[in-house]
Amino acid sequence: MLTIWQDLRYAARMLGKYPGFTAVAVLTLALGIGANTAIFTVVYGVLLRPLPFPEPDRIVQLAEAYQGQSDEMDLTSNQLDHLCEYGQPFEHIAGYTDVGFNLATANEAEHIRGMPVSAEYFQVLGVRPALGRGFLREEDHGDGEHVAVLSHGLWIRRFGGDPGAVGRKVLMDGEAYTVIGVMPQGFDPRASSELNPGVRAEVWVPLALVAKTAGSGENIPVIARLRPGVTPAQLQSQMDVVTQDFRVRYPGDVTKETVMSFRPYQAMIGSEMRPFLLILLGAIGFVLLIACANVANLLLAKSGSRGREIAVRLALGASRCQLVRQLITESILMALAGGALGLALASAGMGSLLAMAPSTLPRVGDIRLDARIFAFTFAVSLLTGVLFGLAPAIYATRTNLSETLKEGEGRASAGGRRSRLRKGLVAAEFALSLVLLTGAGLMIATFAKLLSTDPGFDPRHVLTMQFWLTGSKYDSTRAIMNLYRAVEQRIEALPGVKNVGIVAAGLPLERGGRKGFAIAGAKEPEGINANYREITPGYFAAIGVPLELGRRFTEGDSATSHPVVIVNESFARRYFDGRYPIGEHVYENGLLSEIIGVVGDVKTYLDKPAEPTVFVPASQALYATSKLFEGWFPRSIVVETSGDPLTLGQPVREAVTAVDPLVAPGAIRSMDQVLTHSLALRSFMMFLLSLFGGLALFLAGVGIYGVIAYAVSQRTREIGVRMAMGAQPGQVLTMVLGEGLKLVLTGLLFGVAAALMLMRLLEGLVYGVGMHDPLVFISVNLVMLFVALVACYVPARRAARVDPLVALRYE
Amino acid sequence: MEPIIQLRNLEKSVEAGPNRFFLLRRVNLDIQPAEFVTIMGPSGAGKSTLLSIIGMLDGAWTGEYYFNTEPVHRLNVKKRNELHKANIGFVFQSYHLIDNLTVFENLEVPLSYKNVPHKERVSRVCDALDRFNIVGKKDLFPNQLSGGQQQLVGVARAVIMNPKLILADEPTGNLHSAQGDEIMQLFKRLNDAGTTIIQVTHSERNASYGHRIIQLKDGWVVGETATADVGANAAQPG
Ligand SMILES: Nc1ncnc2c1ncn2[C@@H]1O[C@H](COP(=O)(O)OP(=O)(O)O)[C@@H](O)[C@H]1O
Ligand SMILES: [Mg+2]
Repeated sequence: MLTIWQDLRYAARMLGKYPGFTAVAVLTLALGIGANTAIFTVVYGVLLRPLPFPEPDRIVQLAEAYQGQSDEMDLTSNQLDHLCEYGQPFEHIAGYTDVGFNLATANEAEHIRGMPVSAEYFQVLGVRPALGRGFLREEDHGDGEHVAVLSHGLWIRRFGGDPGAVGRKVLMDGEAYTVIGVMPQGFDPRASSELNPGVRAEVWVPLALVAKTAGSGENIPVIARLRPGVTPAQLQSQMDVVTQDFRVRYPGDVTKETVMSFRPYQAMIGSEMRPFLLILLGAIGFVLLIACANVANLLLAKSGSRGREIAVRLALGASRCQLVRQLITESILMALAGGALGLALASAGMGSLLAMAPSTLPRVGDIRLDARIFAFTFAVSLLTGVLFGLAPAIYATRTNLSETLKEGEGRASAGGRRSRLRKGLVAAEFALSLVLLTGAGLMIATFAKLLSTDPGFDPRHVLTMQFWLTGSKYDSTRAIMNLYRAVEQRIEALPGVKNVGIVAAGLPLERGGRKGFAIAGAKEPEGINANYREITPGYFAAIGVPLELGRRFTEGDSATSHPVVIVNESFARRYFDGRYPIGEHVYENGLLSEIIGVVGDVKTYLDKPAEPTVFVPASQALYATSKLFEGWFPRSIVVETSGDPLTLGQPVREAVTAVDPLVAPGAIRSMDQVLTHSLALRSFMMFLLSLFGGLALFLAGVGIYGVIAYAVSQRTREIGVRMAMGAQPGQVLTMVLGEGLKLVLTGLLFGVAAALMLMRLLEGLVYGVGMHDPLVFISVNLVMLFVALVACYVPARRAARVDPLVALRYE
Repeated sequence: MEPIIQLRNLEKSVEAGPNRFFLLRRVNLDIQPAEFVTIMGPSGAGKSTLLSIIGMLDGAWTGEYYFNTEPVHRLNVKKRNELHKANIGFVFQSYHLIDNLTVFENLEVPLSYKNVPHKERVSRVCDALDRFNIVGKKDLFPNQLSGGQQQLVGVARAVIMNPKLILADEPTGNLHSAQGDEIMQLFKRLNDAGTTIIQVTHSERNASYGHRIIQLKDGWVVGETATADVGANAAQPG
């Protein structure tokens, strides 16, 4: 203990003695460790932090999957009912889904997300309502009782936090629900809905209310709390029994290929983000390695000048082990200082990092710096200290006593090994940087490609406003049309508005409704699944989608006129393959609708081809269909403006309120914002990979500068000799640059090999460029060469200015 | 015949605080082609300084310096470097071989700065190895050689360009006398073949190999002796 204390004190004194060296090393480490801490905080919060429920590892999610595949399917409500009967392994079991509700008061309406859940949902999570109670089995039976549990936030908003709220009524979708409980503040089941990622549920109602409806009843995630002590093996064998049973009971749903399986609930949350987060963690790990290499290089350079001290200590009887321990103590102390500073950097940068994160990032609330993160940083710092300190310490203590003590001599052998290690480290830095920059380059190329991809419409000067009509007085297509017309008329009258339209079931570049159709007269009338949109006549003009054939909808296409549809080019190409589609018919809702027009393709995902789409006039839409899709996708007003669309946000909102204050409004965005939002994950990855790549390149640049500058300082005499032998300054410059370049090229060679293998990890993110795109690889190499040349140029110029007189004077 | 080196009122000084400190003072010196001159004097006399100026490593001085009638004092750095590269070979007291190059590569260094084609380089290096009897050492590194052997390489490196003038600053200072004699005999042979040699040494014995001794003290030339006398004196039993 005493010796460790001595080691520490001595280490602190040594670091204080070389303040410049210590500062550079600590700053480098702080950058590396800080960035790692920040990314790890995100990874930990999203993927690893135990869920804030009692004994979270007892919560599992059940699912049906094709044998040997990881794609999981949700269950049906019938399956859930039967699963509840297999009591043994489960203490509690529950299903849930996700719906929107319009919450109305006398003079305004609000759209909130709600979760229909089965009775034991809260027990599965192990959280009781803070006020009132949870659901009873009876309430989740038959058609379901109209009872609701509120989130803490909604309770404060609607009832001002009044404990007497329990037993009162709330009007949701036009129906009265009795409040039976309020969840504690901060309760968040974490699993956000797939359709509205990042949007928290604010109300819970019995699952039975929706379980029998079309759509919702088919997609029910099921979670369960295992009895204590149930092992995964036991559960799996139970699930095998269930699989057998289900195959008999639901031969259509559970076929030979599908099996029932389970996953820890925690693993299900954020699983879509996992690969990306792990890529980021790996990338930032590279940056830390580069930082370590840099500090190791600094230490190696310094150990050269400490050779005498170490030789004396060895001569005085210190064992090599003791000396190594002493040196490692110094590096760990340095790493811990870097870690502490890094932690400060991470906590300062966390806000900006999260602000950049795509809204689909789940569990954002669980991303925070706390004791566990501190422990991580501490451990990483320790490890880092050993990592960069060990090799230099071993080299430093491997001196040849007699040679070092003899003045001047003996620099050849030990120094040679050391300089090889230093060069190897720098080459490795360049290799790692190249991998990072190639990743960044691919993301940048992808991004450029996506931005130059034609989405099929002109996003400039277009404003959109979401709204919901569920549960309001608009309970027929005619009522909805009356509202649409009134709203469109008011908006048309606003100054700066060029065109107005309304679309239901999905905007471009966002998920939307899909539906079955059939082509009339087709040889094999197979069911077609195509995108489905309800629009008003002004929609195409407002969003800027060109008409290719036929005509647009008009006011004449009414509920009473004969049914018509417009299809997009993809639809026409795919299903009419060369035939003239105008005048053909499709079966839609049992109606035979005539195709009267073909419009240009509009993309749902920029990186995928447009999907076949059928547009139906809002006036002819079936109310039930319209309502069904509204459960997932808001309706949107689309306004083409002559100026900046966002300045019209408030007037458009007011126009809607003026028509009916009880229409629940949603997000007001320009189509440019919608476009940006659709690229959020990629821009996040691009930005961070570029940042890490830049950081890596900077560190590698500093690294090669350090090595070359040190080499030049060590070789002043040699350079002087060369000049005395006739070398011109230009030749010396070239020689030093050449040596730097040799290192860099070695690094780049290995880097390219590694990048060729590792870029596969970015597969899902890269679009429009090959994984091994030569342009990206060449540009990255050129950028790195340029940086390396600049970094080497400074010491090279110093070498070229060596005065042989001075260099050779030491005789 | 014109002298190969003519120094007229050559002076070098450095600032020393408020004062000017003269390292060389009013040096006038003529050296003839194929002469073998020794510069002697106490430590700090300015011998190395003078050699650097003659060797054109140092351009910061006043006065006139003609090399083969070329006015060095009027040449720009580039011209001076070219003159130096073409005509002068250096031998150093501490050899100054490049540690991480083999003997062969060390000999190649001056050639590499004169754009000698590879083939000729190899043949000239091989020649030199032969002439200096170090063929067996060609793949060794300097730290694998004795001091005498290293200096042999140093001399070989200095003559590999066939310079007109060899400047040697205490070439045997780090060597035993036997090794020193070997180097001196080498110089003698080179000199006999026509190379001008200027050496700095503290050893009368070494000086006796040359034709003339120039005495330097505190930057002044304080005397000149022909070595015939010295040699004779040295040879006389005392
Ligand atoms: N650039 C310089 N600046 C200041 N003093 C110098 C410089 N070069 C040499 N000297 C000094 O000039 C004197 C002569 O040096 P030098 O020519 O090396 O002497 P020698 O070779 O005769 O021993 C010494 O006192 C030395 O310290
Ligand atoms: Mg000297």
